[in-house]
Amino acid sequence: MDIKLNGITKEYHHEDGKIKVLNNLSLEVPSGHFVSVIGPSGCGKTTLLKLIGGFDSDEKPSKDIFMIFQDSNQLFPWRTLGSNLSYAIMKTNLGIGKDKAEEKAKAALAEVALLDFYDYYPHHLSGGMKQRGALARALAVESKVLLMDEPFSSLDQENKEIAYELLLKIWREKKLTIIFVTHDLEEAKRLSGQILYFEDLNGKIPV
Amino acid sequence: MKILKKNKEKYIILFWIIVLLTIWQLAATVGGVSGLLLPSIGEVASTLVDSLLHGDLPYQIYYSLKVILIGISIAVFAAILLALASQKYMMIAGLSKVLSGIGHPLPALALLPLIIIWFGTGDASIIAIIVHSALWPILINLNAGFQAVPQIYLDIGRNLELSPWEIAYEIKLKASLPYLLSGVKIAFARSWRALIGAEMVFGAIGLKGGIGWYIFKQRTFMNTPGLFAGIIVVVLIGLFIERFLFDYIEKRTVQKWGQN
Repeated sequence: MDIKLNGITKEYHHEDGKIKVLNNLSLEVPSGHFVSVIGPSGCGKTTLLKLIGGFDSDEKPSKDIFMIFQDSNQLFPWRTLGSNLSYAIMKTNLGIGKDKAEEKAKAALAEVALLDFYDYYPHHLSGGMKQRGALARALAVESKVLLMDEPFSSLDQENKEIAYELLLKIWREKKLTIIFVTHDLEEAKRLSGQILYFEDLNGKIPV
Repeated sequence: MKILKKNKEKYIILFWIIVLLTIWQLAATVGGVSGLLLPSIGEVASTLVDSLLHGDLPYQIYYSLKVILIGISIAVFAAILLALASQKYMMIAGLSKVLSGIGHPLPALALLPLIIIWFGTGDASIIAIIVHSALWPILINLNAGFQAVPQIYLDIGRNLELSPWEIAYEIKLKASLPYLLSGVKIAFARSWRALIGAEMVFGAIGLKGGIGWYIFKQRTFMNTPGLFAGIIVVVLIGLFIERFLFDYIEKRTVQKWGQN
């Protein structure tokens, strides 16, 4: 799935007046590419991702473009890890049975090395495991595009390395389109050969 | 360390219960207090057992619990509907605020004469009193709970293409469960007190009335041990529901989910 934005402007009202977060922004990311978008905190990277994902516009979000948020608490705490995934599968694949959904959930958890934690509640998991669980959910619903908003920023270096290897492996195998937002240049270089600087996106940058 | 402190607290509570019972028994037996004012523990226990085995008390306990369950269920249902509608429509949110602003501070027993005129002196009046006592704390807490639902859960729900009803049930209600349970606990405490008082006024509604009527009848016959027996039943049931039933529900839900 290609991602295309053309001349987008987004303003927020502030007590000091209007703030232009996105100013005539254009972006093209062809299908299957892994692109990092780098910029300082507060420059509008999250706004960009939410716009692409349909959270902030007239379009509705869809399971084909799945967002992995910065906050590791994005699994529903009232469901186990496995139940979070099987619920997501059943809601995005109408007609699929419970057993089949659980099978797919287990397969997705196996890909992120969390199968042993199928029956664990999210509050028993570490931050890194919760982020991997969120990634597994996106895989389970067969998303074509991942929008990742600094998902590993709260992890220590060891867990970051594990997460990077996992993400790259999944990207290669599933041929996903990934837009990865970060403020860390080293992280961007580690993950992707295609790095876009946020302030450059006001001109059209084909990837 | 925490377990040691908790055990110590339990022993202290047990100590004071024994001390208070001892003072009671001594006052009633050798303290010179009239049996009409303060019967002994033995007399109260004997009256309680007799009422349970041979009297109407089991039915009256069942009746009181039945009406409070019906009343609180109606209140929970109404509160959920109002709170969800308030999320969607500003007019309903305004109405909800006005109604709870008026209803919440108003003691149920103050409404009793009006409720009798509107609903008569049967079950409907008792249930109306319970609904009034329970609805406002549940609604206020639920509104607060819905406001506190993390936006990230709602965004995930939209990303999963959930319908508005699915978002309401799966996300808003479940994320607000700690607030709802807190509201229901307050609602039960208020309703239980209002119910016992109302039963004393209404008399033998249903077949034989409830615990409040049992207590009132003991007064009529100057049966002080019976009065104490009734009071003990009210306390024990209240304690059981507040301490055990709600604790059980919380352990199986919000505590299990790490939401407490």
